[in-house]
Amino acid sequence: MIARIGRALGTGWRLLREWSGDAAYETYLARPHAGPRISREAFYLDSLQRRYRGPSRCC
Amino acid sequence: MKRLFSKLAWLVVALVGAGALGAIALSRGEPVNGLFFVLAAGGTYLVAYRFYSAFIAARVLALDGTRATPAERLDDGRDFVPTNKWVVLGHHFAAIAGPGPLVGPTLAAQFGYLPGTLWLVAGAVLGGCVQDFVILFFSLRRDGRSLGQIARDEVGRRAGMLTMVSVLAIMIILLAVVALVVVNALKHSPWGAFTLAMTIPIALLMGVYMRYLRPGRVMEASAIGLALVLFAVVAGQWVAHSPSWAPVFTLTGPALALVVIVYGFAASALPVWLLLAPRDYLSAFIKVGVVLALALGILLVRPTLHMPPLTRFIDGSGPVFAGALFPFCFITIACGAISGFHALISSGTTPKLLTRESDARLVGYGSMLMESFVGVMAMVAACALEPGVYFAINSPAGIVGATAEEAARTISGWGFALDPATMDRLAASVGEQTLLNRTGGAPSLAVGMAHIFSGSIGGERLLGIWYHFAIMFEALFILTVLDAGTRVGRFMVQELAGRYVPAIARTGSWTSTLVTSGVIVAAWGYFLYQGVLDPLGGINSLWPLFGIANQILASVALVVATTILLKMGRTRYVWITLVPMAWLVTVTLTGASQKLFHDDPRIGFLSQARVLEQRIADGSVPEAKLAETRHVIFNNRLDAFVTGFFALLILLLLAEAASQWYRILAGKRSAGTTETPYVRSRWAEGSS
Repeated sequence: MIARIGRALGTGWRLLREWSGDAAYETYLARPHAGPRISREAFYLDSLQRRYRGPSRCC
Repeated sequence: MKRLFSKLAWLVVALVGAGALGAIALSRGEPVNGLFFVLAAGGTYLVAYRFYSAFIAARVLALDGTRATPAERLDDGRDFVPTNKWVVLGHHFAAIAGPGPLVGPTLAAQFGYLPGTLWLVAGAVLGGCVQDFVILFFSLRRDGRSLGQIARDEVGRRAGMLTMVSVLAIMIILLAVVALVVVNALKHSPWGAFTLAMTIPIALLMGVYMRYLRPGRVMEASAIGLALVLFAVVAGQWVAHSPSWAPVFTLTGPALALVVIVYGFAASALPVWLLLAPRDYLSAFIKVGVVLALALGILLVRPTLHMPPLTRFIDGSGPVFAGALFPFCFITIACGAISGFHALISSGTTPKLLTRESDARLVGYGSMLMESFVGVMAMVAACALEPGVYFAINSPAGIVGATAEEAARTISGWGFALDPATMDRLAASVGEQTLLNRTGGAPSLAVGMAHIFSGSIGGERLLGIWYHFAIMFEALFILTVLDAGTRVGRFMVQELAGRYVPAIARTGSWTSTLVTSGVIVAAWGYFLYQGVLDPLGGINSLWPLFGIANQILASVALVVATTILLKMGRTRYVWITLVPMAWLVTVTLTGASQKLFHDDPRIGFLSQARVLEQRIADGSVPEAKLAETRHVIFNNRLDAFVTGFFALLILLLLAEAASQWYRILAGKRSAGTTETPYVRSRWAEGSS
């Protein structure tokens, strides 16, 4: 029972990190990718630029 | 046996929903409990999701779980990223749920709780959810292309251009009206103004943290930001009681409008990591938390609604905004029932994240149901107030008077009892100087939410803290919309103007950034300032204008969707988008014509301009007010022009689409769509 609760909390935490963007760089690193990887800082700035180029928040 | 049990369970859900709907619709004379609204909305949503969305998914769109989505085919770990469907649902919901579903229902409560609630529920399941779902699906099948690009590819080049222009125009009105809501909520409120002002340095601190100290650590920075914001809410009361600090944060409407305009310019021009992004992260966490807390609060407190199901103001004489139930209830509540802006989100980031095509149903249809539920909760919070209090907060001084005695006399004359001392006591209990004439919906919603929250935690003692927490929550994510919208508007101006002056298209150029930010801020800032100076409170003219604009964008999305359904050969199912489109076109064109030509000067822009001109000609306007009156006349004509422009946009698009539909149905045009070819998903095993 405790193990199941622990697993559920772990899944919830993972989904929360994905939702908030906290895990975005780890997701990026885990992808098969040709060429050099950009740094965490460069990835963060790049993701913000792309995110706020189009309508991202509604009324 | 299992099937029988399932059918019985769905029958129970349907009966509970229908019973609760019947209870709130047929109740006369006795107060209704807010719990009925939760059951009515929840039951309807569950049935609609289980059956109607499944019908659309299977029969109309034929979602294919074996088909690779853009996130899979174009996976680059940046724009296109296969993402867990619950995470995408959270993303999409956080993106579509803004101040609209909170403010619209609060304003529409002047008609009584019934019309707005029915429209929120029916409009969402038959219109809003369908729009979000089908546009998401069409974008998924077109590499995640935007609504404007889909309109150009599927309807025609003119349609693409019309969509882009309408998005820009809507953005300007949207930003003006949400800024006006913030100004009306924070004027003469040192506690509220201080709390919101503190969110700026807090966001800057978070920005520096995520940029230099711990790059990309969103959760850590948001936790720090959240703690500081909560402290700022509490500290606001010390500022409000400080003889030296309170005057600094006690601002008039025009002064606050100028502050918001300068802030909007800075947010658009500054690097995105410094202010916009951290505020957005903070806002998203607080938004989701407060929505969940409000739902829990309604279930725990089970507030009684004091507003009648229908008020006398369905005839159009309402003090909150002028205009009859039809069409203005359906324009006032856009977000929460159907919002064209959602189509931009459904064809923006979301289609680039979905791992499976079949998840489009959960994300597109499901998240709009959640937004509709937010609207229903806002309606409950507004209608839980005594109607006299609701009208005293939401009516402009020009209608109910500027003192508690005058307001009590006027509102009691409408049949809603109000003791002048009640308003003074209420203002004191939430730590405000006054709650009279606080138009815009945010303060009355905050009072309603504070009552629900304090009923769960803290009681009357914490009413002031909860009120200012609610104000901070509303203002925080309104400013997020303002920041993000101004920035997107700037890019659109750069793109449009860059076609003629290439230097402007350079987004990295500081000159271009400053000039285009100035253009977009000046555009919405003008409408904001006009709203602040409007003797009828601004909301009366700007909110319907915003509603018309937003519903016209929804009509655009549904026109595009109808065209694609015809091209796909789904003619027999075309009613799923055609019926809501026809309803919205009828509502918006009726609303637009009334805002243009209605004889009542509180409704018709041109009529008000004529009446004021006549007053000047009669010499009944004092010399000192002449310039201001001429400004109001000009603004009414400008609003009339904007309304006419929106109406013309949808008529042009309809003409363009109708000729396409005729050619498709008559077989004179190839019905080919620009759908990307089928590629089998690597996750297809076990899918159908």
